[in-house]
This record gives sequence, structure tokens and C-alpha cells, in this order.
Amino acid sequence: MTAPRTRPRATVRDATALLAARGLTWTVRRLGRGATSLPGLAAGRLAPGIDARLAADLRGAALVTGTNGKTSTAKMLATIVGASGHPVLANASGANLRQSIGTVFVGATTLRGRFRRRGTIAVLEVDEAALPLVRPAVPGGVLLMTNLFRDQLDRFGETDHLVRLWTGMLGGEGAGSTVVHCADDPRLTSLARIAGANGARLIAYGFAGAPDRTSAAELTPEPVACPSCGSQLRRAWTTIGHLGDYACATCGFARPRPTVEVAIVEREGLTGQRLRFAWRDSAGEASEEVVLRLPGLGNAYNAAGAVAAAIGLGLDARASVRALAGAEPPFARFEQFAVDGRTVVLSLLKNPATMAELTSVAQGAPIDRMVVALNDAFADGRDVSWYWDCSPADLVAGRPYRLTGRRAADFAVRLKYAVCDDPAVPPPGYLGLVDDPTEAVDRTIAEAPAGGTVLVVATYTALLGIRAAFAGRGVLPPMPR
Amino acid sequence: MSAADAAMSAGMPDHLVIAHLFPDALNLYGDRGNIDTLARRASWRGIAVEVRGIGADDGPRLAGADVIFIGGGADQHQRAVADELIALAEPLRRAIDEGAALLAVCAGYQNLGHAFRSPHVGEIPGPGLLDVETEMPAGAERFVGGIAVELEEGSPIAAADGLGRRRVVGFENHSGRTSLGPTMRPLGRVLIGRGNDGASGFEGAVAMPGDGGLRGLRIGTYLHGPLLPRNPHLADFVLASGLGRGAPIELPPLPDDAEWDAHRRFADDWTAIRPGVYRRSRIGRLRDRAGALIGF
Repeated sequence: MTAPRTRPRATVRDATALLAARGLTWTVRRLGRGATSLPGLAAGRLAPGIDARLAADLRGAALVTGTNGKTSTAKMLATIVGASGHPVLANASGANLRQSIGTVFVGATTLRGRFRRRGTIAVLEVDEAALPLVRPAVPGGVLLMTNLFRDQLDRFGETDHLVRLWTGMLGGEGAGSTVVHCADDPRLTSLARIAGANGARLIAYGFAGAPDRTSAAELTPEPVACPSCGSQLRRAWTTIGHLGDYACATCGFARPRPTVEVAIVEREGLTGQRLRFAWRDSAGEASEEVVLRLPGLGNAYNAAGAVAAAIGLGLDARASVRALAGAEPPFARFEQFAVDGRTVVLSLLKNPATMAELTSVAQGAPIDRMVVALNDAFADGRDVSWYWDCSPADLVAGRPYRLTGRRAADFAVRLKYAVCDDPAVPPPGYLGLVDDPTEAVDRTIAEAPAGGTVLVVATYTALLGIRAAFAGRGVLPPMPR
Repeated sequence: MSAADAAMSAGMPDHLVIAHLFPDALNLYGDRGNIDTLARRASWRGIAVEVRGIGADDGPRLAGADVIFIGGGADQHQRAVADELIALAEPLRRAIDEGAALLAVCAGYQNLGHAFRSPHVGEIPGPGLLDVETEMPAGAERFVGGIAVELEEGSPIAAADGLGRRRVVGFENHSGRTSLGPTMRPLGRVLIGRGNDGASGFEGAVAMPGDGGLRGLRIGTYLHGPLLPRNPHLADFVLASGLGRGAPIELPPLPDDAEWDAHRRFADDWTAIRPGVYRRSRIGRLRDRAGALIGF
């Protein structure tokens, strides 16, 4: 065994790094920028591994990752942790690389490397591709994996590539880790078992049964084969895309029974839903209902993931479910504001799963007009052709709709091929194409009946532009930094 | 007179059979849009459409196919279907020789050649229905971005929708390096993007009906996007060749303003971003990284 590094030297070095990081934070802020990466990067360079040493002083930590639902899940979990009385340390959405997490830590600690607020629990959203690099910064604790959908392949490569990355990382998890995962995603079940075999605690969550699906949110399921043997999986029911109940007839690989189960009791349009949770712990089985102010199957999953992670952090399950009543919609997920007596609902569209989710939520909701804004800048994903794998006709569902953004003309073609029996007659409800997203939204609001609702769905950069324009007019708060 | 009556009176076929190879395993990023496009453009002309999903054991169901389509896929599925394609080689060859038009995109393009080689999987032999070979060198740059290709002068593809437009656009996302054998010609010259190998300046592989001793049209290409909705001339040429069993028939024109609008905007946007090559300049990449560090 090697001798442990002498503690005083490490402390001096860490303190120096923390001091330098503070100076950098101050300087960057003076320059009028958000210091989300640089201080953590500098501290990590001056004192390698400082993030993990700081993390050891936390009361608990949860990393939230996956292709869909990270931001919402992390926000719900932070709400639960806050309601439990523990100080919460969270990272801003998008600031989820290792240096960003280091920056969050150095900003919350004293020069002696202690968190200023005792009992702090960190809830950190981590980019799925960056996870193996970020994991060493926050060892142990809770690792929450939401799902693996196809997402922006041109940026992150194929889902298989992510699975390979995570497989290597999960081999390093041990008795100190709790892996919380969606039981309804076969790839995550298989990945979690790698950590389970090394002694990590596993907590699975999922739907209590087939959701009562009144919508036609059809998402072409990805061809997810049995992760163990490659055979075709049998599916009893599905929720979103490939998520659901599954079993392999060849090797016996099957969905584990979830520790936390969720069911939708009642849908409340665009404004929320009543959920019932059932869970098992040392005290036996219990259940509790709550009204969540976020609609849709995806958010039901997110809420179940947050409750399962809270259990992993040692928090009370029933109190955690109740705390979800206070969860606010995160930035640009069914975010509502009023303009000229109309309600505008703004939501992010980023891949087939989000389109299916928006479709299912919009189904039956009182929506008078829609705007679909599609951009293909780097942050949107350069290739947005995934909408050929969805049913956009079900999203607009005969309502008047206007298209905007750089790929609007392509989406117009998609809808033409989806619904037109006569190529010379435009699709029903099509209000045409406007190049500028904000202008498109303005015109659509002006046409909507007084008291009516306009649903705006937009890819990331289109959404930022629309949101900034309306924040500039004072009708909604500016984007959180 | 209805479209169907017009079709009958012009002596046009009234039935189109599309064979979609491995629709579950090879369906990456909207490639199924190619099927939707072929089907709609046929039904708009009064032609009834039948789409057959074809798996490893479905060789006999290839008989009577007018168009055969195979799409892109993740590595895992590409390997999985390689053996099955060898098993299907004979029925595929027979269907093409009876005049079916073949369109193969990305992984399908690589898999239908003579061989595919990569350091991860070694050499995977293919059925050789396309006279191409693909290498995937270790650490090869991945070509990702919008691509525009110019068809050669006098190409019958350009003439297929009566407008004579010679540009084809799509989205490439691959690290294969594909080289053509003597019986195939490139689809066209790369205007923007990287194409077959990033070096030759060509994209795709085409054997016109009759070339290489097979009666049917064969096209292999890296263009996703999906390919056909933004390129109605190419969609119609595939349809006309398949329906005409290797002797392209004349199809009544369709109102394609929406398609050509999408084509033009896509080409304009990518020409601005990717003049010649896609990779950002060194300075541009440094600026991106610096921006990320100070919180842009």
C-alpha cells in the first residue's frame, strides 16, 4: 500500500486553488460574464481532484443524467431536498461539464474546503456524454439515469456509443454508490446491473402499469434489442417510444419490479396532472398522491425519478412526494405568460421523444393556435430530420399553425407528405411560413381569439430568441443565468 | 378526370410495391421519410402503393418489388444485418434484374457493396449489389453536415421532374471512405460537404438501368436528410425507373413548390456555413472554447 498524501500539503494547495478561483470569479463577473466554467477549471488545474475532495464534505450528492428530462428531474429533486430542510447546491442548466461543477463547489466553500452551509446536498445535472468525465468529481452518492433516447446524433454519436461510455464508467461503481434508474428503459436496467454486480445499491422507478393513453402520441420505437443477448424484446406495454414493460424470451432478461411506481390519476391539460406514487422501503409498502404542476408522461417519469433519488439520499419518501406539489416548471418547459389577453405556452422541442410528449399533452388541451419553430444551429443539433420519425400531424391536430425557423420549409414538406391527399391543396390549418420566429409568434398571438391560448414549440436556439424578445418586453422574467 | 383515370388512360402502372429492407434495424434519422415520399408521390398520381417490410427470411417477398430501399443504421445493427444481406443476395439480385430500382442510404450503401472494413469489426463481406468498397480507418474524421451534389450534365435524374435541376442536397453523417468499382459512376460532384471519401470530390454511386448487367437502377449514397423529400427529381427518377422495370416511364408532373423551397433554403443555409468543407477554422474553434469558458 502506498502512503497517503500528507494532508497539510494538500490543504495548502487546495486553499491556494480556492483563493485563485475566487479571484477569477470576481474578475469574470466584473467583465460582465457569468463565471460558470473558468474558476472550476483553474482550481482543478492548480489542485487536481479538488472537486472530489470538496464533495466529500457534502451531506449528500445526486448526479442527474440521461438524454431527456435531466433539467426537470434535477429541479424536482432540488425542490424535494429544499423542502427537507437541507441547503441545496445546484448547477445551472447547461453548465454541466466537470469544470462547471468544480465552479459550483468552489463558489460554495470556505478556503478550508468546507461548505459554508452545513448539511448541503448537491443536485447536479450532468450531460450524458460528459458523465464519465464528471463522475470522478463527485464519487459515490446517488447517480440517477433517466433514459437513453436518440438525441442529436451529429453531436453525441449513436446511443450505442453512450452505452459503451457508461458501461466502462459503471464498472467502477461500488458499495458507496446508489444507482437510481428508470426500470422501463431496458438499456438502463442492463447498465445498472453492472454497478449492482459490484455492490452498488440499485433503486428502480417506473410506471405502475400501462398508462391510460387517450392521446395518439405515436413515437416510432427505436430498435432496442435485448441488451443481454441481442434478441427481440417482448413488450407488454409501452409509455414513450421504447420505454415500458419488457422481457426477453431467449435469455430471461426482464424489467425489474420498480421500487417507486407512478401512475397518472388525472390529467389537467397544459397545467399539470394528479399522480399517485407507490413505494417499498424497510417499513413496507405505502402510497401517496400529489398534484404536479407539470403535464405529461415524461414529467410523471421525472417526478418518479426525483422521488427514487430522494429515497437514495436517505430522505423520507412520503414527504418527498408531497414536496413535489411545490415543483415549478423549469425554464421553457410548458412555461406560461400573458400577452394582450392571450395565454402563451412556450415549450422546448428537441427530439422525437419531446415531440411525442408535446403531442400527448396538447391532446385535448384548449389550444387555439400553434407555432412550430425549428432551427438547426449547433445547439439545436445540426440534423433535425428526426421529425420524420414522429407524427407531426398529431401535434398540430388540425389546429391553425404557423411554421418558422431555418428548417420551417422542411417541416412544411413533412406535414404535406403526412396529411395531403391532394398535393395542390395545403394541409388544413396551415397559416404559412414566417422566417423570423418572434415575428411568427407575434402574428399568431394577434390572430388568436381574446382569452385564447397559443402553444409555441421551438428548438433550443429558436426558443432562446423568442424568449429573449418577450422577456425584453417585460412579460416574462429573463432567462436564469 | 380523376388522377387514377389519368393513370389508366396513359397506360401507367396502377400498382407500386416498395420493399423496405430491415425497417426496424436500419431506420436512422428520418430515413423512413424516403418511403413516405415515394408512396405519396405515387398515390398522388393515382397509383396504389404497397410497402413490404423485408427481414432475413423474406427473400421470396422481394419478387414483384418495384423499388427496394435500405436505410442507415447504428454500427450494432449494421453488423447484425450483414449476414442477413448475404442470405438475401440472390433474391435481391433477381428483383433488381427484373427491373426493380434500388436506393441504399448510408449504412445500407456500405452494406450492399463488396466489403466493409473497420478496425473495430474487421472485414464484413457484402453481397456486392453495389460495385463499391468501404474502409473505416481508425480515428477517421467523421463527415457531418449539409451536403450539395451536382449531377453530371445530361443526367436523366435532372430531367425526371421536367425542370432539369441538377443539384441534389442532403445531410451526411459518416466516417466511411467509399471507393467505386468500374461498373458504377458517382451520383455527382460535391459542391459543399465531403461525400464518398472527402478526397475525390464525388458523392454516391449510380448504375443506370442496364449498367453492370442488371436491368434495374441502383443508387447508393451517404445522403440522409431524408434524401427524397427535398429532391423531388430524384424521387421521381427512382419511381419512374422502378415502375418502368428499368425503362423509366414518364410521370405526370406534381406541384413541387414546397419541396423546391425546402431544397433551396437548405442549400443556401449550408452553403453559408460550409463553403467547401465543414470543419470550423482553428480560430473559430478557439473562439467557441473561450466563449464556453466565460459563460456565453
